[in-house]
Amino acid sequence: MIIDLRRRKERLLSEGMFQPDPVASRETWEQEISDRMEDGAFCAVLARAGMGKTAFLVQMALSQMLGHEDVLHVSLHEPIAKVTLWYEELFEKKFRQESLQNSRRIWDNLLPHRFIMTFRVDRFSIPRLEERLNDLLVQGIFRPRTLFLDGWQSNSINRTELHELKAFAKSHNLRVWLSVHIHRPDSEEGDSYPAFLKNSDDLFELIMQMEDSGLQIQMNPIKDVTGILHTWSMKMDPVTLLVSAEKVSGLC
Amino acid sequence: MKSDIRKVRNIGISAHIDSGKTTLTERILFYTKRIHAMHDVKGKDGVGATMDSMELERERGITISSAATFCTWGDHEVNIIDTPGHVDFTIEVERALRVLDGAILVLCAVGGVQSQSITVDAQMKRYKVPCVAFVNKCDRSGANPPRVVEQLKTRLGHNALLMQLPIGLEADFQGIVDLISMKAVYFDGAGGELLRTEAVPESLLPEAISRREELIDSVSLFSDSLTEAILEGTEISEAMIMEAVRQGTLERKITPVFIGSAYKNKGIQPLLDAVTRYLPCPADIENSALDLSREEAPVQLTGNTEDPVVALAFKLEDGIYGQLTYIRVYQGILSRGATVVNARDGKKVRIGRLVRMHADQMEDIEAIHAGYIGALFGLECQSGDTFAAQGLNLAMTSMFVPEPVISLAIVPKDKKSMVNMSKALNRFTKEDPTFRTHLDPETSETIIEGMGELHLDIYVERIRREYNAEVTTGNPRVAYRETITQKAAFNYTHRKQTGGSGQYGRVAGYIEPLSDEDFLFENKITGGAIPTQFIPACEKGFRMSLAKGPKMEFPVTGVKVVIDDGAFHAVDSSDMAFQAAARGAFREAYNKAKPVILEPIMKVVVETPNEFQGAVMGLLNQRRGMIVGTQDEGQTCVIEAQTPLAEMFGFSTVIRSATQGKAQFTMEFSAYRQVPQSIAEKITEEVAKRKKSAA
Repeated sequence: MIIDLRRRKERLLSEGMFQPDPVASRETWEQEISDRMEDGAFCAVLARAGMGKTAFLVQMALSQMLGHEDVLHVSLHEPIAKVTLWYEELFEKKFRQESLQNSRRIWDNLLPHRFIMTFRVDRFSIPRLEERLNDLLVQGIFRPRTLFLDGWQSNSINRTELHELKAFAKSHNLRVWLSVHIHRPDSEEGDSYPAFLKNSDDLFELIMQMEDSGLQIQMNPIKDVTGILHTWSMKMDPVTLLVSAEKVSGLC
Repeated sequence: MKSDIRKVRNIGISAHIDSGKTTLTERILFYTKRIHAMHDVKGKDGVGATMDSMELERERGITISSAATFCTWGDHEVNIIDTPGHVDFTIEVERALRVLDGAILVLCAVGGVQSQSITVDAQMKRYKVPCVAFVNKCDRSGANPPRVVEQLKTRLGHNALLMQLPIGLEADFQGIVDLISMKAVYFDGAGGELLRTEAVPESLLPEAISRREELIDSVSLFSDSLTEAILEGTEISEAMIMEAVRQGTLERKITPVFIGSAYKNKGIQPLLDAVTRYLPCPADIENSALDLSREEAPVQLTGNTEDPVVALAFKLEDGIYGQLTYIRVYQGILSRGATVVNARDGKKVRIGRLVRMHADQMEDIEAIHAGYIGALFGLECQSGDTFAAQGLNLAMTSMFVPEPVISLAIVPKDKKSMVNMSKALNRFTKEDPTFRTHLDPETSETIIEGMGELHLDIYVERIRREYNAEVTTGNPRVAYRETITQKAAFNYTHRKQTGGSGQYGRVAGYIEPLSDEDFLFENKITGGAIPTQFIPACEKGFRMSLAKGPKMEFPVTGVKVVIDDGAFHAVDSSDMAFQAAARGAFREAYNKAKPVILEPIMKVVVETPNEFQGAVMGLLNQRRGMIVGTQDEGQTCVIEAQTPLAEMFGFSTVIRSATQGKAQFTMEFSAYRQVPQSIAEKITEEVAKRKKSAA
């Protein structure tokens, strides 16, 4: 005698049971900024030390990676392990609502889109960067779409070097994001532009400055040839270092 | 045993192969009166050097056995610990470097900084071990100590400071000029044991003065009193310079360089003075343990002899009197007859005979104080075990032992070899938790598993040489795993009627991927569809299925099994029937759950001169490596990549030839990742071929 207490139909695999690759989407503002940037475009984020320039760059980089674009992160003050940690922490904060398994799969899919290069500040130069990048390009190892240059000392940048970098970016179809450290004297004079930017801001398509406004860090546009920054109000949470943006009402 | 911790030095001697490390150690033991005669490596007297216990070490250029020996110099006690030189021995390297407080980096005056020197230097940097350098073989043709100092600066990035000048070189090498005391030192007597001090020869005086000024200028950074004396133009005492050199050395900001010829018995005594003057005593080093009751949170150890004892067993050796355990005490006193707890298994052990080792001879002692190294008999333990006083739940090394990622079949040639091989495997598995062994039930072969190709290679060689066992090995195999990628349902009935009582059991539910555990079983049966007494049998059935995946017969990981329905028969259902039903259910669901093969991915870190950066990245890329990044380190760069282990076989040879032997790499297990489809097909073919040949 077979006792079958709960006769049921054969289980069928319903669609809900399948787990396709998790899709993580980019924030609209991130996508809009990145879409407006052309090859050779220069973007800069200005802030005093410790305000979150690296965190901002890393979030922009993560956004590009989510859009399946390859990014080259060049750091002049931190070793690979530290840069990797920035990415891991900000990724975890950004995707904490995802299940552990999903976020791991997203992370694994993102990693091939990132290449980190670190240089000692005193040894960094554009020709040296180009030499290193050529190693990657010639062998087909990595072809970045955006270059994030973090930690370049503003007092050691001059117009010639920026021209070099511009030419380098154009020749390699790169968009460039720079973090620029503002020194106290620069801001005390009421002039937020570091000296090198005063002579060279024509080379930049987009410049924004991070300013502490108490509970939030405000991301204020200083120059924006694309007009996109003025349509968003961007803030960084000083605790999580995550950037959020709201569409400014009345603008589209 | 004395107990002034300030007078203790625990040092390692690291060197490139054939730099004269063994000869130097031999001379140190002679001058410290631990031996009464010196024997040369491969000398005519056939005795061989005291520390030179393993042939393999010379052949491979790596140290694989940590012999520790004790000697005294003046009122200082020096423990010399042999340091393993290769990165594959992750755990052994960590332990040896953990145990020593400072090191002598031996370099050949002719060969200079060679590849092995780069490896050992990288390890010392990683573990922040302060060191002094000794440029040996100044009597050899082509000896050029200033060039070696330059290489130390350019190739290893050391702030190397020459502390002595040679008096003559090559065949004319007579002695040294001490740049601190500004005296010439000659080594007389048959064994160079008689030191004769004279004025600096006129011909060397100008160079000696300028070198001394350079030296004082460089070390003045580390001493306020020296800086003041320089600025005020007052007399600079020898003690002031020595103190500044010591400070700089402890901070790893400078590397004092000494010169000599161990073979010609020249320069060894000043080197011993330097060890006691400039290298740290145990109290200069901060040691921490892991608190096992607080998720391995680091705890600072005091180094006080009054505090409860904490000691680390860092090496086991099979001697004529049984197992000998080398131990370093970090805090408290380990006395004969004391009872301590092994942190690994929580077992209480009583300390029996304590000895102090001198290579192959030993001396009985009553206790080992904090900061000291000794050995003990009759202690059943494994290498890396921590012994702490009762009530302390501390471990000196993490309890985490990584799973082996590579395996190899090993077959003894005859019965005698089989017995010897078993003895060897028994010992090695005790010494090294990352080295494991088991019997393959299908092929009846003994399988050894470890953390890398060289790791297993060395053990196979040791089985052959130390245990005189003739063995042959198969090709290395990567430890692949299987897992599922999606949820899949099962509803399987196991029914068998072959006369007598039959077998009946039905299980239904689903399996789904699980990311942070190997296996999870959940019972969601309601209403007694499967009686409670059969649920463990179901779980057992599923567990058994995981041992060998239905796809490729690799172990299956990361699976959650939920059973929510089933059926039983009042007479025919049994544990056996439900186990069989669970196995059937797993097979049924497994293929629907899109199984994939996982492979071990290694974190590979290559340090290479800049000119080879492109070539090394190319090599890694060819090996399916994902390059994480590159780090500029001046003359050299560091490339970090994630590369499948399967592609790394023979990499050391390839990288050596691509970089003229100038690059070195470390490799450690990082994670398991899915194998790309094309590779999965290849693996399937290989497995099928292997099965066919086994049949």
